[in-house]
Amino acid sequence: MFRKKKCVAMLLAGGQGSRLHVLTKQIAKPAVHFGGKYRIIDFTLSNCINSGIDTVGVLTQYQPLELNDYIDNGEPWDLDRSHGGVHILPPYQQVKGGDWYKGTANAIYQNMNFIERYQPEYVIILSGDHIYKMDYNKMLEYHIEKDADCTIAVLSVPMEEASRFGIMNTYEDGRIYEFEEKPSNPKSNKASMGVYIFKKEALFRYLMEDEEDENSSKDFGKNVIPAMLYSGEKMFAYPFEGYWKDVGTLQSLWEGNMDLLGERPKLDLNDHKWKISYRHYPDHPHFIGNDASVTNSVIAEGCEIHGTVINSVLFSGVTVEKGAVIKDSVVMRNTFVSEGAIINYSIVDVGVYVGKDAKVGEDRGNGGQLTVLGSNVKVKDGTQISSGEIIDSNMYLKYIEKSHLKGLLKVIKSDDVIYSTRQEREAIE
Amino acid sequence: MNALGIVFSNINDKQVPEITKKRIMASVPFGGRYRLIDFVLSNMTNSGINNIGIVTKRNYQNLMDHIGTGKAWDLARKRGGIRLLQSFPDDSEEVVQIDNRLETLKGIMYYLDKADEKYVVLSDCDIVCNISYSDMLKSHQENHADVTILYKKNQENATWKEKRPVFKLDKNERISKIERSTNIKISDALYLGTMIVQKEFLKKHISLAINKGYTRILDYWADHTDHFLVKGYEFKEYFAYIDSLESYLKSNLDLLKLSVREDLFRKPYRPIYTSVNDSAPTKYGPSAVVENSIIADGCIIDGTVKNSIIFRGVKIKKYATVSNSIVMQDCEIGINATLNHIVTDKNVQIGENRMLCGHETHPFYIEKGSRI
Repeated sequence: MFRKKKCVAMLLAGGQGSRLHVLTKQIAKPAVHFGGKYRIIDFTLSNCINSGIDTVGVLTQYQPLELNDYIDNGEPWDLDRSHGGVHILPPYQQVKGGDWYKGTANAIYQNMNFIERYQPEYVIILSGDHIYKMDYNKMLEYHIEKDADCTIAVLSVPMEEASRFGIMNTYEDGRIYEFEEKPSNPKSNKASMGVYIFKKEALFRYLMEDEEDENSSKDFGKNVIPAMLYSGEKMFAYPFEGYWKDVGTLQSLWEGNMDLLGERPKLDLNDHKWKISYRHYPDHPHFIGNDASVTNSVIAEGCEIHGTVINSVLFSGVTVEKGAVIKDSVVMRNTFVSEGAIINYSIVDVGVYVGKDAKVGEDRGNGGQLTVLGSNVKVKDGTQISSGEIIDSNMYLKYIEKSHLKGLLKVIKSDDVIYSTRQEREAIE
Repeated sequence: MNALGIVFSNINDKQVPEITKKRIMASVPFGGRYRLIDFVLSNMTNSGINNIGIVTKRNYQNLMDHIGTGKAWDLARKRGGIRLLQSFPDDSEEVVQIDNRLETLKGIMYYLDKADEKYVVLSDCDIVCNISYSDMLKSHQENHADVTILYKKNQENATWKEKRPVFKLDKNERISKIERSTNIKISDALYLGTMIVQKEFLKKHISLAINKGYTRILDYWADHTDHFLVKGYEFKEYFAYIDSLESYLKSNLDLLKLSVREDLFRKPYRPIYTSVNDSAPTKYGPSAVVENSIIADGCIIDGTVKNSIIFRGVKIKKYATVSNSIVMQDCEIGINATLNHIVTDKNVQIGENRMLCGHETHPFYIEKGSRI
């Protein structure tokens, strides 16, 4: 027996997030690390449980292994329930054949049976790639009060940036009369946050209609919402105030991490009323050594800091040796930064090894560009990685020293840096 | 591992009256985010002991809060897992206070009877170490010993508040004599509060020892070293005894040494687990100055911290200086306050411009929840 629920959440976590390049080569975007201890999906899952929504379907498709492991039984978010709880919903085979999720709307369509088990009045559609703290329950109350068929959460963005978002044009009472995807001349600055609440009955009706339509790209923003508007359904915009960030690009991911810093950070994670839960690793508290200097930074457990850390976010288990400098950077789990190495204005993924006196990236003040090292990259002693480079996972980097090695190595990108995978390196040495 | 774990949660409570006033030894905070029992429980679960009984005596509410279902140690099990044991000597309706280990063991006979495991690992809670009991059990089995007791060769002359058991060992690591002393010299074999015995052997000898009027199990082994094969098992890595506020401060500050952190926390496949509370990572402000310190998650550091252990959720305001101190969970150190050789218990608030100072050998202790 499934206990009836008032509202079921469906979390779209199947996207690749290709604009995050190497960071999402092996993991889905919602599993990307953020803010020292978290993964992007922690924010949405914590919002759900903090809002009293205890039934969450997570739709996965792209590289789901690590995301599945991470969510597991949902215990870190108190979502390990006998009734409801978190469920991973991958695409599956059916009698009439199976298919991948063709779009956001199709993904929900294929899982209507999951929603139906709980007989909810309302369904909230979320995406697992935004950083924000939001009480969905308030939005649900608004939705009920307006007796809306669909409510879309909107954020006021600066007018000059409005053309980058999906913009909702509304009447004074909040009712939406028009939706424009990335308009060149926006009429309003109310940007959709990708959070939708539907009456279940209306959602199902439009999903089935959309499924019939062969020309549809099976997407909420492109098809379902416009179709509902066209038919004159009651659709309202719910104004959200507070921090919201789409961390879909390397630059915005870096910015999102930097928003944790400063005396009054834009994003406060020390908020006891709205805790963001995450899966824990058994790390000891971090150690700051005698020669270390740490200013305006966020540092997680398990770190050993003997060098200088300025304006940076360090994840658990990072080691910074004596004389090394990390500035304006995001350094993820278990990265090792050797003596004298300098990392400037970079995102460094998990398990990277940076050799002695290596130099990664260029100071922002000197016109440096964001530099990115993929997971498990090894940077040899003294190597310089120029600003703006995006280095693929498992690469082994060094100056060309022995010319006879050249043939074995994979790519030569700039003059003094060569790229090869670690396996190839082991074959050489 | 075919062994059962028995943890004595409030042995030696009285030795550190300050920090055990409102809690038992097992739940004394340690090292920024741990409680003392975390070490024993993690050692056991890492060694494959899945059936653990924690013997309680005094108010153990804070211990229950900490352990919960045992999930953090992967011990929330249908079969085995963690169990809190109350030791009642007999079925009479009066509540009898038990104050010795033999009576305690007799009182939990029901638990020993029920378990299927062949061996029992007995451990105290006033110890900090990272040990593999499976290696110790292997040595116990290979030597066909009746009892294997953990000891450490003392590295330096030490004076303890209470008498500590010291062993005389022969060439084959067989214990021939057990003495008690407060002065312990270099290379004396110091008892580390841990032993392995066969369950049936233990059960038989508990009753025998009580009938003969013994109160301490160690004394019983000591007087019968001719009859039983009592072996020592040397532990060579970092080990700390908490027997006074001074040793509490010292062993906490030991964590500032890399070798100690490696011995305790960085053993492959042997992490120390503790209960989790979703704290955010620690934030350092633009004016933060930190040297040689252990800092847990959820802190906001804007002042100066030197040679100290800072627990979870501590706020250190601008211009404040904390040195050679232990600051426990959720404390707040006000603007321009100065702390030196201080142990503040949980939830202490130090106002602006306060100046508090203890000494290395006499650290000053501030009680839980104080406002200064």
